[in-house]
Amino acid sequence: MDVRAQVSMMFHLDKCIGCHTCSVACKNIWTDREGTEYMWWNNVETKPGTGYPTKWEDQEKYKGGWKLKSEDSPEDKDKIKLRASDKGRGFANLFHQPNLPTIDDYYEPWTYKYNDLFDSPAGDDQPTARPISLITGEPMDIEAGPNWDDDMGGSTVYAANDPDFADLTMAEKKAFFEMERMVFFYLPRICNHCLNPGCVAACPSGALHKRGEDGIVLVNQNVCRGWRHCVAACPYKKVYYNWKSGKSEKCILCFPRLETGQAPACFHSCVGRIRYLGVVLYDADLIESTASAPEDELVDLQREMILDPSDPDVIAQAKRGGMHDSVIDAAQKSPVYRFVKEWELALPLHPEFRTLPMLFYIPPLLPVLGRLENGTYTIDEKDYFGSLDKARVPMKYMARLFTAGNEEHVRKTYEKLLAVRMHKRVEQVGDLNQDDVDGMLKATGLTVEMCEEIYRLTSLPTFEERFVIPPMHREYATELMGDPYTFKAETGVGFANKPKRGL
Amino acid sequence: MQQKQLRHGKVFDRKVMMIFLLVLGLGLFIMVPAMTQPAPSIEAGQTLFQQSCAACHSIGQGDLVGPDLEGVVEKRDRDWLIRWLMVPDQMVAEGDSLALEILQQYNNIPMPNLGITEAQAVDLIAYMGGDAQTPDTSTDPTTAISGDTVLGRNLFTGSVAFQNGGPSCMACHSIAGNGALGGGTLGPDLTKVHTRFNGQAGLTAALKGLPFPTMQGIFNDKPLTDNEVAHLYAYFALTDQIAPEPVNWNFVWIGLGVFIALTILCHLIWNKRLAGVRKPLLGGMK
Repeated sequence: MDVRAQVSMMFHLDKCIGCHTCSVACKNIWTDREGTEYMWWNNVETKPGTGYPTKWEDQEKYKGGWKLKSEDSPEDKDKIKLRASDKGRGFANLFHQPNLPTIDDYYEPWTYKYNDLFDSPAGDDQPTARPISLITGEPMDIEAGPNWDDDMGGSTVYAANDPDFADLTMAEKKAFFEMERMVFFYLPRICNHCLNPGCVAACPSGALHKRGEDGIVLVNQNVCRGWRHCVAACPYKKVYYNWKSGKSEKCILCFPRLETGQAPACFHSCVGRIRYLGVVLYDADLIESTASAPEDELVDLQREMILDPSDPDVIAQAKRGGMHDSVIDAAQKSPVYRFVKEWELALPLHPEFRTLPMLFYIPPLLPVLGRLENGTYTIDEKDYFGSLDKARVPMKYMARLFTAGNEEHVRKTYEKLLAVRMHKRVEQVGDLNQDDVDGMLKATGLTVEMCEEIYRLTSLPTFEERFVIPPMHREYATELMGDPYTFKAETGVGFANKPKRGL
Repeated sequence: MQQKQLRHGKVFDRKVMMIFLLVLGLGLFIMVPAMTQPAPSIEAGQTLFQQSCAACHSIGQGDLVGPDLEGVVEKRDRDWLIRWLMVPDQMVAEGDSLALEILQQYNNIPMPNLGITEAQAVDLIAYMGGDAQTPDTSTDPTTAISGDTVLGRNLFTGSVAFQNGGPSCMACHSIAGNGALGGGTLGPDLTKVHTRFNGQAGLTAALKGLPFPTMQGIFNDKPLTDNEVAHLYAYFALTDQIAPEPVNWNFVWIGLGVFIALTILCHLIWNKRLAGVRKPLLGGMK
């Protein structure tokens, strides 16, 4: 057992209102520089939809993430390799990486010529601010944006081509697009800070690394040579190439904020308070075996990797590995641990990419079609779990998104969410049969106490309950890396470009 | 810091300063002529001659690549000779009539600028002005080794490496009869080098010393062995019989052909690279 700490995240999709405040907060802090205009380290997608960059989930096109070697040759069991590049292809494609999104798949960034509104000479027409490309500086026609299919805009093109519809039959898909049934939800995405990151594995320069003490995945700007293999290898397309600096950049989970005890900007600014952040302890020895497991076991095995921070064995092992007491303490209070491991409610996004993402989602409980009967909203089902079969977004779709196609698995999560909701409804509204609800609790293995805790942490958490940020102890991390005096009298974050000092 | 220097400056009284300068000036007056005109050294001249001149010149043993230098000191004006030793290339460029005459007389092989200083030139003149004789190279053991033309060719092309690690001739020189791509074009074509360097004595001496400014930097620490010189000589004697090939354009055509083929291949292999995803989704729509 090799116990390590990971600053892990959980997004509660039922609470997301799709306001993009997170994206704007991130953009204003990190990606408002030349060369980064098109990057959205945090973006919010509408599902069903093709997302940003267009159809990023389609690994037939983008070749991101890992695949089992046995997909190519059956004798190689239980081993994985990068879909985009092995040594041979990596070398052949070194100068010519063929699996990158084009700028059009992201979108061509633009601004407006605002000065024309003020400087135009008097005339018969109202002056307008023409859109100007931030890449060429020339006037341009806007054809796409980072959330072009927001709220299912252009659904016949974008939502209809959502790769997650793959498991649905034509009839099911057609039923979804009936106007009366249509529904959508939001999927905010940042870097997953994976346990088995494809970007780190693909980098020919060794510029990417996963920080030992908190698992944040970073690109070293002094080492990056712009080969862009990380861009191809990340199945979530969350590494971006800065065309100005010629280097790749990605979400840094606001580590300068974390190190000073603040939540990352997108978490801090979240209007719907959907975001939770906390440390989880995991067993690093299990990474390889988990990442190369059969698809329907991926979610369970990833959960098994996450260790109980209150278990004395785990604590002892963590301390042997040099983990500070305060980190273990933070792990014990982690809301992510409770949602992911204790209540088994949160699921990873696209676990079949095999990067072991450490950002988990609680799938949205979208409204089912029902009718009013004697003043009560009724669905014609015997028990409330039956409503899942009538869900307007089919379970197959959700399973493709969160459990590598394992429908049973995503259904279990939904049953728990429904049970909590019905428990609170019978308690506070009282219009349901208590026995039905007790049956639901029994079927899902939840207790009344657990329901209360889930309800509390979902609906009424305080700031400190949502974000349990461990003290970062950079001083310990520095000592692990070498002589701490190396850093004495250093300033700034770069060692290659030291700041000029003195007169 | 600056204030400290100012205070320090006050220590020098004007009078003391004047006396100091006077003594310094007097010292220089005596020293400088002595430094610029040291006594010429015959020994230094001999060493230098063997290092830099002997590859092409003998004293009293007849012409090699360049002329026999016996009696050269009496024959030429001293100042002319010093300048010739130091900057022969410059003198040829300036069109010095004597320099051009010598160049023409010796197969248009120019005397290289070997970076000899004025003091060294004086040493050389002292050595050559004496009754020194260089050893007879016709009895040099190297010339007695009979070289192998095949091995010489292999050494030239680099398929057999030089023992001391020098680069193969082909890296910089071309020669007739070596395939479509020929050799390098940095140095001259060596097809007729046997004739140009006056046959065996001159060519062997040149190969042993390689007294050309460009080559010296490369071969100083990696000289050719006597055997290698003999093999190369045998090969050059053979190529001397072949007519030199005109400037080889094959290289350009082959290069262009390969470039076009590779470009087409790259486009075929990576033709999907710049195909976007969003535009095809739209079809004809915008």
